[in-house]
Amino acid sequence: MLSDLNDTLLIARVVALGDKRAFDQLVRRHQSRVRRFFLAQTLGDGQLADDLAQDTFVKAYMGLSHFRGLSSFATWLMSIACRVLYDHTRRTRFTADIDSLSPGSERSFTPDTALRIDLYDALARLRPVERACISLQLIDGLPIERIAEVMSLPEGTVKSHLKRGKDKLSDYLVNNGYDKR
Amino acid sequence: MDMTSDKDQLLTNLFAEASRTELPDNGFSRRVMRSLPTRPERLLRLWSMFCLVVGVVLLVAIGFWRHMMTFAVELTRAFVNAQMPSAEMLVWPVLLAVAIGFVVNEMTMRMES
Repeated sequence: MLSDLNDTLLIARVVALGDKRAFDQLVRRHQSRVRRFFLAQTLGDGQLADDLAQDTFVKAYMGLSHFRGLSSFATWLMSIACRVLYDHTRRTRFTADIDSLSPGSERSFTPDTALRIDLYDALARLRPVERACISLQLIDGLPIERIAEVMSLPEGTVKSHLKRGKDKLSDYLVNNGYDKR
Repeated sequence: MDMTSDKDQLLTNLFAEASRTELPDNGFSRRVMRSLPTRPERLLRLWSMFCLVVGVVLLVAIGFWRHMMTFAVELTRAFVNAQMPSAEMLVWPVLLAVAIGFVVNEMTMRMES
């Protein structure tokens, strides 16, 4: 709640006074979450994740006067991130199947652990919308109703995507030696 | 044991590290700030509005609307008699078109920003 209030004050300073330093604080406060989201969607491509995250913040800056405070700034920001992701997916017809991953793929921000690689390989098996729902729940810890709000989807659709995504993930991970219990 | 909760527990455990990871800024915020477009300044907006109001007042003061009425009458006569209206009559409509174009352009730019 306190962080929401702080975000609101910073947004007011940006919109009313054109205070760019206030927006800089907002970026620093939320950059990790947004970049982490895109890292999961791009399967560890740090450069692409940063580009998409930068796009997200620029769009947020330009549309800040339209933020009504009906949801938290973080939720609003993540909904912009989802639209940026959707636009990117449409533009590039990004199909994250296992064949598109190569040993040389840049995974700048993560230690080169077997688990991390296996998680990205598992995520690669999901459709982009399933991957987005899964990462919002399992990495960001958002409840279903918040995921539905961020992605502008009905809750039932989110549940379906989560179920299918989790089934695919667990099947792949269990087949690769990760114990169910 | 419920298969669904087993799967959920497995995935929660495996993604636990990812969920705790905070990415260091490493200059990301600086790059974002450098890439931000310039927002129209408040003062510039106020100045544009002021100029618009002054422009409208001047137009009314110099009898702009009388000239427009005269032009409308001339144009109607011209159509009826299949004649071009006089050049003097065209000045005010052209000025009006330019002013409308300017206002529409300003409003469009503000909406886009």
